[in-house]
Amino acid sequence: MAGLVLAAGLASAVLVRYSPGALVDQRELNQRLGEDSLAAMRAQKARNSNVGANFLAYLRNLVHGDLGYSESNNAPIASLIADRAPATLRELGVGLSGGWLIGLGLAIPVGRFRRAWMYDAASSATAGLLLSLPAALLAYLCLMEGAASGTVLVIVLAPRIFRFARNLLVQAYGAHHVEMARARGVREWRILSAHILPEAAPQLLALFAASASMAIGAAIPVEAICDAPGLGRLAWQAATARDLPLLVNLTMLVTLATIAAVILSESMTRKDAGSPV
Amino acid sequence: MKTARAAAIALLAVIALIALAPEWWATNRYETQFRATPDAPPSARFPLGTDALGRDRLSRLIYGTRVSFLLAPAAALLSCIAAAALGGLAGLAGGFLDRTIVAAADLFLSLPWLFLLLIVRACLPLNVSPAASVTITFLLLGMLGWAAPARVVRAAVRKLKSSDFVFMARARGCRPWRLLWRQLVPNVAPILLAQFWVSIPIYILTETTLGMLGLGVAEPLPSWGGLLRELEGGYFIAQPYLLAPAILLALVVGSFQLVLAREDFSI
Amino acid sequence: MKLRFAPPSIPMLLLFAIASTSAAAELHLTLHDEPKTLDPWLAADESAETIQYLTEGVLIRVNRLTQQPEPELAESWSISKDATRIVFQLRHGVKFPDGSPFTAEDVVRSFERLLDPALHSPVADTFKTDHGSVKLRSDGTHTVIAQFPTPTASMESLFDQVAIVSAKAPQRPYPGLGAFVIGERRPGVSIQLKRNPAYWKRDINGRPLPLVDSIRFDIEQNRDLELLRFRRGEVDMIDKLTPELFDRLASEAPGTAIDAGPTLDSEFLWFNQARRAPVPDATKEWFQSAGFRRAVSLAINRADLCRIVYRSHATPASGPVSPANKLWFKEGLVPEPFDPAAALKLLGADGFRLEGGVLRDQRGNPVQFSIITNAGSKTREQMATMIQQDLAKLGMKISIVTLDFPSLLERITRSLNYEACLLGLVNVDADPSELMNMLLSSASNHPWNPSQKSPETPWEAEIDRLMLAQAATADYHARKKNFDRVQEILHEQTPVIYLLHPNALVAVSRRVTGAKPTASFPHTFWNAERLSAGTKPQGGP
Repeated sequence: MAGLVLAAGLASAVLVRYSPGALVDQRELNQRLGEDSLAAMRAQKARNSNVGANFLAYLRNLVHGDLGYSESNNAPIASLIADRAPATLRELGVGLSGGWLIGLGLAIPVGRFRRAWMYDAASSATAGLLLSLPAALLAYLCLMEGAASGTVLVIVLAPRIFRFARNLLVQAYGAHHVEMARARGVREWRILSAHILPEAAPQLLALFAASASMAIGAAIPVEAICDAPGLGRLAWQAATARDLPLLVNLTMLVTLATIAAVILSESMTRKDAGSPV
Repeated sequence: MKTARAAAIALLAVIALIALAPEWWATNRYETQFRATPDAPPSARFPLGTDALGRDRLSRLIYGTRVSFLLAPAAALLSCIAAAALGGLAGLAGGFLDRTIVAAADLFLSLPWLFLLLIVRACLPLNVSPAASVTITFLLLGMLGWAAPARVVRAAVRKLKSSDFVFMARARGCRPWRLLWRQLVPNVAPILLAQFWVSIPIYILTETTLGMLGLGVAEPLPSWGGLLRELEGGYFIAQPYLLAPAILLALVVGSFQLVLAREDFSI
Repeated sequence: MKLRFAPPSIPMLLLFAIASTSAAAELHLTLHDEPKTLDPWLAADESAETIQYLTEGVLIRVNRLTQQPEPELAESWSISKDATRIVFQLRHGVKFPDGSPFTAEDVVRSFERLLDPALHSPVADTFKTDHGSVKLRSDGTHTVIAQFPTPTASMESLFDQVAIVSAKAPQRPYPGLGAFVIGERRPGVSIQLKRNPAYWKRDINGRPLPLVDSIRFDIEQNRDLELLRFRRGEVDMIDKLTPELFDRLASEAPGTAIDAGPTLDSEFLWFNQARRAPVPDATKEWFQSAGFRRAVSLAINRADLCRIVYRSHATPASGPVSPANKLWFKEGLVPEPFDPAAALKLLGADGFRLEGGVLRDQRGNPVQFSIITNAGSKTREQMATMIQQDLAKLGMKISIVTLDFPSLLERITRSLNYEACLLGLVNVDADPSELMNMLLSSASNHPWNPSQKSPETPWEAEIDRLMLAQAATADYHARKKNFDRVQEILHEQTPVIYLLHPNALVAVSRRVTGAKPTASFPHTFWNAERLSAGTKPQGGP
């Protein structure tokens, strides 16, 4: 896992370093700059161009808790991440908890009341509609209504969770032992808590891991569009400004989170949920 | 449900027809600028009005369908082929090769793909036509999208590898290539097919996201993503016809979802 | 029986009233990027220059409305007849926030450190010439003499850019002599400027300035979001609106959207004429032909660009100088008319011919090239699209490539791997010397053929001579004559196709008092110390 995280960091460092515009500074277009100052600015950029040496130096500093300095934000990276992480975590927390509450909450009645086809059709159609709209568009629409970026994640995740949970719960509620329990007068909440949810738990947990991975992936375009002060927006700014140290740190963070989600998912089930790009 | 599915298939067929020959349906070329009437509201001449440069919005929507609707399946096909090859290899080979491919897949899932697209666009030769540029973008998306389906294929192959009928075939002296072709591929094919259908709407949505972030198709070629940028100002309440690309997108992606198998557990 | 709920007492009411009025005394503005530096001597991007403008004291301030120099830290000054020396009488009684008095030593020390070659300050670069740079010395505690090596034009405006820092300041940035000091900062999110308690200025009623307690800048890259927040009352002023957003705001909230008139900025298109550029020789030949360039210029409908893209908030351009720049604009210079027929004639004279709707050069090569511009700028993307259509009528096939800014910059300054580029220039100063680093053939920012060891064409050599000549004298008439000729040459040779000069489109909330938007940067808060902010209007700007 550590090796993969470092590989991701190195890969993103190489990507940034060899991307067009990595060694230019937008201030070069300032008309007041004389030739000497321009040359000094360019030389300064060129000095930081050795990917291998810089990455090794970064790792050495990382051991001491120094994540480096962000030129585009004019601040130490550790403090930047510490400042922005709570917003993203809050957003992810709101997105995941809201998405699960709504998705699972809407799916349970579908599983339980299989004759309520109108309810099933309406909720499936709504989920289908929301699944058909890109996260970026949803972000804009929510923005216009003044909704927080966490709300966008709820809208992105809830229909996916609903769709999966609906299928799962319909199967679970259709099991013979559940029908037997109902026939014996067991209360609904007990059926749900003792028979349905434990039965579906491994797949639901795998889905949770996949939804976490999806939420992390959606956070970047959502925060970039909503200008939310989180890690996603930081990553987008770092990419457009070619801020190598910042992008390396953020890539490694995302890799860590993604791998953690994958490991959790794999440990819960043998069948992967297959999260989308 | 059957009626809904049939309607979805019919809708997709109509849209495919429009995408293949937009010049039959559009009354104007997508790049023609009617400079006397920029930002015009809907009228008989321009059913969806004109955009800021006086271009017929309906014609641009029709031509834009071509980009989004035809290139997404190409990207999906590419990602499925890559997923089949790498996921199958990982599942069959096991050991070091399996671990390497899985690690590569995790790496691909973690890398900032938006940034990669940004770089590829910047590296493309300047005289590449907009059509070629968007094709390359979609192909790149396809190459980046192998990781998640590869894991699904790998899991399926691993399960099949240890199944009774494969064991029986091996015991009867079946050669590896024949085993692969006659036993494994037919069993993995439905999974790949499901992945293919699931990926198409995902790539359509990805293209629209790129368009909204300014990484979309070069002017004057329209795409759904580029057309959705008109929503950025938030004035669709006063000008609801601006929602036409979003509605079409929802109809197409929704139709794809209806066409998919009910027991599909992908999210 | 005691009353349970006593009515609020008068002191409490007073306290409440005071709290209400003082709680609202913060201006909310936006920046589009994080300032690259807070060091006032290294500020080279707009955000950094904004912070520097508000937090640092200068000897002379050019009034952005009248364009006249006004006394700031220098109470008065006198310029020698030969325009090589300026003597400042400094203001008495001014103190730094740490309590130390402002004296001539601070000015002299500031310039010594600013002009240190190791600093590479863009501000210092404006004081440097081939004959050396300015030298300052003190003559008493409140007199400073600045000696330039050669006659220097527009001397006063140079000092508008130089932040005077305390001689005792251990590092930069350091609380200075401006109206505000840097307060709380969240990199990439917001930066707050608090009132400088030691600020020396008073208004005409004797009230200490600034009138607001603080200014908070939110870093907002998304222009639509910026306007949305303005409409909600979360942002008080927007310094630059796009034409589309301006018109929308003007229709929704009349009076808050203000067109402050033509700016000194320009939007232009140029062709890559560098011999070493990795561009096909045939293409280079086209670009190096003045006839070709003029033909393209004639084929572009500038009026449509102004009307459609800028919604009539722009003026067609005839050259680098905006007609708003009354002091330096060459009278009689008119924008190239829209005349595709004349364009085709010019191309015909150069050996081009139209065959089956395709323009071909003498060798039969179809004329096709790309125009690059920066992604994310709707106005530039739209202009490029319109130019593409205009040139299609000449039979030229143009492809438009939008690139993120670093990629674009890399192509136009390093690799020179591009054919044509559409960009804009922000001119802060009306003086022609501002254009020196663009017009000199040896300059790295000479757009069409940078860093020439010697001018490759006679007309570039002539421009070099004229620009250096105008910078070497303070005589306005002599300078005007030289610069007029420069404008003529640019018009004749068209190395850059000037398209238009945009207007300054700003938004000012009704709760802000004292705003006088101007066409010069900073458009809305150039007089920030005299702005006051009342209570927010309910749910709107």
